[in-house]
Amino acid sequence: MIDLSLLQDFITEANEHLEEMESGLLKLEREPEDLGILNDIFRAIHTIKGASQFVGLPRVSELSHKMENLLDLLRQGEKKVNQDIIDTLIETRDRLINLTKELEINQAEESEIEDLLARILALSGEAAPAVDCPEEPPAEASSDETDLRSALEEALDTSILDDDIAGGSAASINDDDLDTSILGDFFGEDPPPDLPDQEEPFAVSSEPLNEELIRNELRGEEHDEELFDIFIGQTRNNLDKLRQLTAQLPDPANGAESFAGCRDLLANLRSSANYMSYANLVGLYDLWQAELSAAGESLAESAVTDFSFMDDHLARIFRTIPRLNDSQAAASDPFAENQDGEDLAAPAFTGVCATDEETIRAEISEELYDDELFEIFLKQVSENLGSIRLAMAEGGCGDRANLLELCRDCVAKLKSSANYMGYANLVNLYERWHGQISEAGMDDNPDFINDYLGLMSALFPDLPDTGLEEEPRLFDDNSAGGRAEPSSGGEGRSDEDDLFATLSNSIDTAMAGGNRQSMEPLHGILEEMLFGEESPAAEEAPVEKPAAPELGEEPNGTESVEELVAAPSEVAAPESGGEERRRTERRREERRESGERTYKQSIRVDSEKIDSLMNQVGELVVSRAYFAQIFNYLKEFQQEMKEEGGFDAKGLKPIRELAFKLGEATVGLGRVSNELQEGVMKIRMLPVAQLFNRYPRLVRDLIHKTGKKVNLEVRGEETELDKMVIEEISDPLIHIIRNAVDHGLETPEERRKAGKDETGSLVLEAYHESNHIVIEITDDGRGIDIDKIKSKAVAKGLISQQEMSRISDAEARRFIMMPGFSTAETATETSGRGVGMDVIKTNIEKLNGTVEVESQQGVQTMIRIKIPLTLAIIQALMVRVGDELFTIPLSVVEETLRIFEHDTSTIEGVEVIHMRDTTMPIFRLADIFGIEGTSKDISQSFVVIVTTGMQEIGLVVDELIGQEEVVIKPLVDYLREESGFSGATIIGDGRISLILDIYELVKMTSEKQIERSRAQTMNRKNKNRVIKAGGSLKKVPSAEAAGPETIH
Amino acid sequence: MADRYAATEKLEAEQELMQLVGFTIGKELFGVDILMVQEIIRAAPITPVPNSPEFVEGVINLRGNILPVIDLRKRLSLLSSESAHDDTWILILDIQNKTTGFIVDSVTEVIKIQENTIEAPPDIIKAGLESQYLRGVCDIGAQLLILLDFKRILLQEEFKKLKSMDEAEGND
Repeated sequence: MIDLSLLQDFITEANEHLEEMESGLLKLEREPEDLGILNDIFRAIHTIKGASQFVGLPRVSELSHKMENLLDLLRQGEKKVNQDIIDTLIETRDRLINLTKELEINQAEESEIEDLLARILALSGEAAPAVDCPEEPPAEASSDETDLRSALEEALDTSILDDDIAGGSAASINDDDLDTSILGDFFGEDPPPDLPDQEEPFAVSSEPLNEELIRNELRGEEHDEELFDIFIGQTRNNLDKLRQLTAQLPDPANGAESFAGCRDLLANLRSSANYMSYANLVGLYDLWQAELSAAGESLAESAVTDFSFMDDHLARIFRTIPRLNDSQAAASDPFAENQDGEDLAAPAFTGVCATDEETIRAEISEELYDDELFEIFLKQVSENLGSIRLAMAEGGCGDRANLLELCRDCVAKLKSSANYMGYANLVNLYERWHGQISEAGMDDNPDFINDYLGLMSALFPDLPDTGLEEEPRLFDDNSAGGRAEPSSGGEGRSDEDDLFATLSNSIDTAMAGGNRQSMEPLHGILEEMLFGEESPAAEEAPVEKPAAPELGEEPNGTESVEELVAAPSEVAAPESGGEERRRTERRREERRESGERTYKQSIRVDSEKIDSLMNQVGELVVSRAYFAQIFNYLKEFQQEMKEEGGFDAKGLKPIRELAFKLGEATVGLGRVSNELQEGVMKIRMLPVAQLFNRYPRLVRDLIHKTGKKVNLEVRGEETELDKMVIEEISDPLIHIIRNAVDHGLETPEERRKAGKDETGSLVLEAYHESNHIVIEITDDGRGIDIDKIKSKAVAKGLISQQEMSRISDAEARRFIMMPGFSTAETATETSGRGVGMDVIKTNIEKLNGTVEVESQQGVQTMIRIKIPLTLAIIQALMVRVGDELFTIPLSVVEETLRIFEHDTSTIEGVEVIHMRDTTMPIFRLADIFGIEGTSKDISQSFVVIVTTGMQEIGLVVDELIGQEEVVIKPLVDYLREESGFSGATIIGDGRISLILDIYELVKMTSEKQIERSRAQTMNRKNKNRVIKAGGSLKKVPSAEAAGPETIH
Repeated sequence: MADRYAATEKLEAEQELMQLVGFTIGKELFGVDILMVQEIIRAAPITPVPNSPEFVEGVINLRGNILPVIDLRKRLSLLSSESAHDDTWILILDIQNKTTGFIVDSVTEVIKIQENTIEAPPDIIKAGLESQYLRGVCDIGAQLLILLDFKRILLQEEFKKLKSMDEAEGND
């Protein structure tokens, strides 16, 4: 069952990642070698996979899973990126988008994924090394979905327990049975085979035990042979490389490089083991990693570093997974059991822990970027530690299973909060702890928990209730219930000194018992604490350490730590390679954090809330306008008083002062409301990249369909635009781009013939122009054939031949935006039906925007879209007609002028004005709207010239009130449709002013005028001659134009 | 009192009482379900909208929201027996999330009727009211209460039809 609340988050997140992935894939197609892009894609799909598993979406997770596998092969260079793979990846992404959409709508996955799975498998199969699995042809399309799914489920289940074996609790030493039984549980249907060496191993060292576990694990997991083969292949590959690098490690010249390589390889190994949910193997890798980083530090210090543990581990892995040896005779290695003793690894381990503690401390003290957050974090830490401690106190004599359970929960909580804070090292520590608890059984001594508690107290000395005084008692209780603890005799003593001594002893014992890994870290700490401090009182250690919170500052006595323990502490190595390593580490951390920070900074808000806020701000803007108006009234009043009231300067003083103050206040209010408005508008603003990023894919698909070569260039992606505008212009832009590729750009041959570069260029550019955003789509294609348009327009009867000869090319180009106008001979799959430009124009005009077409035949076509930044508030010209106020969006206003009677004339029943050698129809708004009480004398009126993009029209109004910023309020449908109004606005005094929809108005009025003129002509003609009704509309007006009424 | 209240409630539960806001246009008494009534305001300054259906009086500014106002008398083609007096009210109704004002002559008190007393509208109604906008009639003693179907009154298609009819008339 899918959790719906989770699902919502998943969908948003997945969509983001998928979007990112698309651009990544397209980039990859161009630059197949770029590992960075590949990694980005991989990360995205990995996140989706994880999230889908978590939410419980089998198809999404499986598909992304397979995709991830394929990408991983690419990443490791086992497979070269080719068109086939890119196509498959893109299709997979599309399928994932589909699935997400289905989830959004139906909360269920519907699309089938089998075909893609097969394709991906086929592709990855080719790449999978077929060396060691001849019996299993890897390309075999495994439809064993169920197997995989169950494996996945297990992966999820196990991940809780899948921690490091290295930390495999102090107790797990005599606990093979338990572990194997856990394993048995994991792989339920497949009980693990017998453990032949079960008795011997732990007497010698923990290794055989681990090996056995891992071997079991590998044997137990027979779910997916194919997967296993891939795993083995990968592992072997990595191990081979690792071996090579290891050989180079001691070489001082390129030691650092090989070291980094080793670390990466190890991480790869670990992740593939983790992927297979081989918990124990992962543990082994963890351990290895820890040793490696410790070695890295000592390397950085240019200390003589022993890397033999590398060979050691390599040998162990090869021994453990015999299949690896199939083709690796070389795996027989000289390093064996005798070398893996403490003498080798111990220093390294000590280092690890010292480092751990120091790094964690540095981490914590370094990153106080948010005090509040940190405080919360501390509080959580103390709470959880407190409850663990309490549990320990009670659990000492009570139910151990419960205790462990509780501790595990607490540690998990601690881990997640540390993770949230981005304290990587602390997380590691918790992970280890968690792992130990997980593996600890009923009969084990949970003392290690106390050990950890001690460590925590040292780390967080100023926690409110980490009172150490309780610990010894706990310790007692527990040791009584647990495994024999020879030195737990420090009964009741409340000083740390004893505690540490006890710990140290117990660790020694444990080590003697062979469980080196588990206790090593603690041992390291102890050694540091016991020997590292000059002060004999060891309890000072945790107190003094935090006193040196700055990274790089040497805490007291670290030098002696170095000397005595011979393990490098990170703090003591502020220069050379250590610094470098730390820097990279920090950089990584920072990156993660900045990731988190951006995540924290952006919140998803219901867009309705923003809309309502926007509304309120709109109201505020209106009130501000009202204040400005009142201020003007006051000024007028003042003037009046002065002129007519006979007040002298003294008598006017109060009112002048009042006016001044009101003016100040209005300006202040204006400033605030301006900022507020801008701020709210910015909330809705998104970079236009969001829009532009959708098009590379479109262009790619078009290229594939048309066989043209196009290079898409995007500029000004960072330009910000209202989210709603982005949604609205998305489709128009698709049309334009389709047009450009389909019609605009020529085929390569044609381009070659025309002497152009074979690859056409298509440029998407966005920029701001005062309160507008301009989007230009330019292609260097064949351009628009004006003659073709003209002849087509005449053929369609849109314009007469004579008229056509008179109009300019720019005007002629506007015909392409007429409905149903297409010069394409045949409609293609993508375009050519003549709806495109018409739709674009209508859509853009809905947004109060304009579309312009510029073209130079044979050179280029540019379509320029100009849209106001936001939809809610527009700049407008307020005019009065009769008693009513109307608002004309400033975007359509070309100019305003006064005219005189002699400027006007009537052509074909339409009033026109002559202006700069052209004529322009004028509409009297009073007539159109049936408003009475306006002067008929046109010389008293004003003319506002507006443009619809196609033509310019003069609107006759009584008065120009002024330019204002208005908030658009919607009108109900039946008042908006065919009324010539796009909305309304509330002006300062609360009155309503209707906003003119010029395009609609012109359309309506022209229709009416045609009707009227037809009616008129009909009447006249009926009077004068006998003529058949329904005479051609086109001819009638021209007949009339020749009539006596017409003045030219 | 309490007893009576309890009794009323009981009665309500049994007989499904309906609460109506009564209003008059001319002499007719109409009713609208109280749950649809958002508020009742005194006539506010109405801004006429040109090119709108004849019965749309215009738009008003109700606390920053612009609402259309419909003259119910014109909408229902009621005979205007007496010239409309100034003292009109605007009934703000929420009809399927479309908040719309309706001009009525006066508003009466809340009327309680029982659902089962509503009868289908008779074929011929006084004052030439078109029966398609009626939900039913109810005898409340002194007068006949007419229940209007406001959803129907606001139907888009009806509007368009009416508008085109207007235009046809205008062109003739």
